Amino acid sequence: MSAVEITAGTGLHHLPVEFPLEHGGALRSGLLAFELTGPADGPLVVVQGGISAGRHVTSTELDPTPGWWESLVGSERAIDTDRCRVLATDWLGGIGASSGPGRSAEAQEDFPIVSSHDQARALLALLDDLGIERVDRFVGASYGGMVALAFAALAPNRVRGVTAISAAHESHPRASAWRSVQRRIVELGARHGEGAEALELARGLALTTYRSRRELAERFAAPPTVLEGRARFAVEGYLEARGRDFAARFTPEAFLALSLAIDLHRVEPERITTPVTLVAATSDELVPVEQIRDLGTRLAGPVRLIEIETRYGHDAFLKEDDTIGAIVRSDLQGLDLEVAR
Amino acid sequence: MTTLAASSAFTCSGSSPTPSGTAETLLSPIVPTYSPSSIPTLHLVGPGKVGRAFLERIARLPLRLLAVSDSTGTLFDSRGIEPQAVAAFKSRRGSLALHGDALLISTDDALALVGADLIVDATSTDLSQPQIAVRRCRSTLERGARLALAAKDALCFAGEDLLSPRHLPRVGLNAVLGGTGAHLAAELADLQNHCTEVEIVGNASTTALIEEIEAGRSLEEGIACATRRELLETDPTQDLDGSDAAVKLAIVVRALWGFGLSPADVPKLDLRSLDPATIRERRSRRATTRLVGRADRDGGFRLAYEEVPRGSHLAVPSDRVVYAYKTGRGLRVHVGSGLGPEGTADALLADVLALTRGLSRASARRFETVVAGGVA
Repeated sequence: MSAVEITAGTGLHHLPVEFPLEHGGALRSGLLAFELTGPADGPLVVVQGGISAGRHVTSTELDPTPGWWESLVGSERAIDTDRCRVLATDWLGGIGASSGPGRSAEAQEDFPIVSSHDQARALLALLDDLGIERVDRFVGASYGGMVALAFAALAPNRVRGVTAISAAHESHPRASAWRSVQRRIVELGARHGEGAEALELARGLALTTYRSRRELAERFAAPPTVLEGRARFAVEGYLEARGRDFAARFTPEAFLALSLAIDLHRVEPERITTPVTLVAATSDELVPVEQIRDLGTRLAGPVRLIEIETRYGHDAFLKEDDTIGAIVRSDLQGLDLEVAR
Repeated sequence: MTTLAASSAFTCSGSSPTPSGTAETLLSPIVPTYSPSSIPTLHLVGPGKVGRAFLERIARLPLRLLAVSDSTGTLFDSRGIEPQAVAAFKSRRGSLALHGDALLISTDDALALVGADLIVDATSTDLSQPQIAVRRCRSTLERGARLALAAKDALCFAGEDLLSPRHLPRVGLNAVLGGTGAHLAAELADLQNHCTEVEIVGNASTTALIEEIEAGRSLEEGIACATRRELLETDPTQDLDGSDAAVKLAIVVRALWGFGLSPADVPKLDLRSLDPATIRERRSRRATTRLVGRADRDGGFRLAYEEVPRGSHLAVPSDRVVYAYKTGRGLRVHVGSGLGPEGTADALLADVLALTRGLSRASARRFETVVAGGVA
């Protein structure tokens, strides 16, 4: 069965014993780990990030370690935890305390395919358990944005508005191509007993897709060094270091599960009637701005599309605090009044 | 009971003693299912509901079931016996002694005689005579065999010894702790050093009854419903009076800290003393009620029906149990399947698979192949 480690302030939702999954099979006796912080009577904001993000969005009294979106979420920040209740979960299939490869009833190698719709359904089950009828705003970035869109398509009456940052209704074929190569690297490494090293390589390759050409050119323009017949490029050290960091806290199996989940993501925009704010980074190689524009034209409800000029590509949501903060803040304005009504 | 006699008398094809007038020969005779000598051998003690569910599960696995014992007798064949046929006989006739080939010897004698690699003890827990179970476990381990337990009595009274580093690799306690025992065993050394408190919702039957009361039924109606669903024992006394939860708390405390906590030390807490209105009122506030056992490394312990908020790790549904271990870094939460003979048999099977891996590399590979094929 399941074995997980949680920190103070973490809640655990026990999913139904057989939780059927979009792509077949079921998750058995699954767990969904979450953190819920902020005033109990405040508007509820669900915050979900990329595949390496989790339930701990911001530091709290119970867990003062910094969260993954500390710059945007917290007291008097764009998502103000003095005013809003913030709910975030660990991904099913990921490395947190939710069910994932190696921590659930399934054998590590047999963890089922979990889609963005499955993540959304798990969140709905959690909301039911917590007695929360409606999410006032679902702020999702990257994979979290995909799940936010899936949630809105699945249960339009359970969410008042969505802010989807660097996320579209499906994965772009070029992004899927990059990720499929990353997965093959990890699978190859796992077959040869070098899963962690392969994960470092795959993450390094992924980083080249997260950041823009411009940023990499500006940061790593130094000429290569050639020492003892081996050429070394300035960008290599960066990729290696970030790859090592990632491999130290992630597992090959979780990476494979969530990378696949991104590529399997499909939402029919026409089914989404909820007001949506779409945020596109002009330098995003993974989720091109054209794709988000297409999404915007197909959504059935009110749409606000904001394109931001940035050098940070797909990772703009982690870097452009002021810009993203202002967008989110404006989306959250007036929520208190709506809740009061 | 007859005493141990010549070995030829103990094979299925031999002329074993039978109680006069009650012998039966199976219409479909028990036949050997495996012959290679490298296949791990198994002896099941206790073919009750759990034991029979276990037998159904091992039918296609590369194990050689040498013997099955109940309190009346033992069926034994060194060539192997058919698990499903034994289960069917036991289900139909109730006592193995009624089988024409049964050996009418004590279970302890049978265990010594058969000498299987792996003993699966699926007997019911008997707290009145724990020394019998403790002695049986010790002698099994001293013989070098491996032991998968569903019965709790031995661990409840001698867990600190049976789960000591000397024995732990050869003892399976997954089923004892609702499918979480394998996790505890894997983390035991670390938890012994770092765990400061435990929180347990280990009795799923009371959780099922609480859910029935929350749904508006009376306790009596809930008991009737849970009994129909086979969520309660035939005699649910140990569930209702808190004994079962106390036993599990005692096992964990002994394993972690070596305290000689006995279930008798834990004050009984009868579900029937709870006011249903309180349970429903908590439910209306989106909280729930669970029978929670708590203990700490300073020797404190208690068992209480607590209000548990929704979203708490302790708010497990009735098909699961939770064992949570507080350490300096946080909380380790082990979730298992709590209810019924099927879940217990699954947990036993997981132990058997794990214990068998160490017996024969070749047979372990075969196990994995079969399991991947969907048997387990």
